[in-house]
Amino acid sequence: MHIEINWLAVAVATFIGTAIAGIWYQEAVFGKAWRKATGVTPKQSKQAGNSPMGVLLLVNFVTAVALAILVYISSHFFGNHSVGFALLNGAAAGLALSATTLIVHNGFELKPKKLTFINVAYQLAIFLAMTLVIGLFGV
Amino acid sequence: MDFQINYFATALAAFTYMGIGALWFSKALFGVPWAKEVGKNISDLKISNNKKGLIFPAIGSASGAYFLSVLVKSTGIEGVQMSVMLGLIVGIAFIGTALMSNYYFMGRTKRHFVIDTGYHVVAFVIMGVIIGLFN
Repeated sequence: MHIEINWLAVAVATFIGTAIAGIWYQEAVFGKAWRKATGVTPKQSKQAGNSPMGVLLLVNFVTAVALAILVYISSHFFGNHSVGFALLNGAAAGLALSATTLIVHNGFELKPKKLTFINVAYQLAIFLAMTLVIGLFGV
Repeated sequence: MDFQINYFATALAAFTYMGIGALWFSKALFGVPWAKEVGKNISDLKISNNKKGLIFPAIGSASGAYFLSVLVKSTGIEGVQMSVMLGLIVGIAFIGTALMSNYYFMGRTKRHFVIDTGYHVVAFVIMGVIIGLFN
């Protein structure tokens, strides 16, 4: 089978996903609650330097490529090339795979529910944003 | 949107996913290092202390297995080898990435990440075998 990936869409989706992370974990948004739940101090984050951002960029790139492939496959299989259907793919993958995994791991680790909410909502937000970009670029 | 997946294979894959989890995080395999990474006593993290918590692994396993079944069907691939590849890709690209970005920012160790992600990737590969065999 032949799969076409729009690399410009993937690049934009990667960039937007990373920007969402930057906004999401701002002190003014969920950063404060996240620090409280994880116990990570601003000093520790500073010590970690830029490498978490590098990891984030790489991880978001892998996610964007996989979502582009997923949207391509399912839109051709179901014969639906709309933006809404691309979003549905993002929601399905985000809920069925990423969200459930985070809920399970945080649950067994007895982590606060608030942390799970912040993690899961972030993950869903980037999946939806990325599939929106992929859908808008067209499949 | 007319398609038929094998529900027996999907259910079998879902149970296997959960079963691998129970084994993976048992004392015999990675339970002890995992509890150490979490920073809690393994006896506090036992499943029996967290019966209600089992609903989420059940939902997670079922939706993961269903997702993979639909994907195998919609790609039209044939053969166990291809569905294993698909399982591997889904495990790494959707689950591995989700854990990696969250864990990394939380300052968790590589060992913690490898234990947790390893479970899902191995489970998705084995689900790929099951779904591929029945496909």
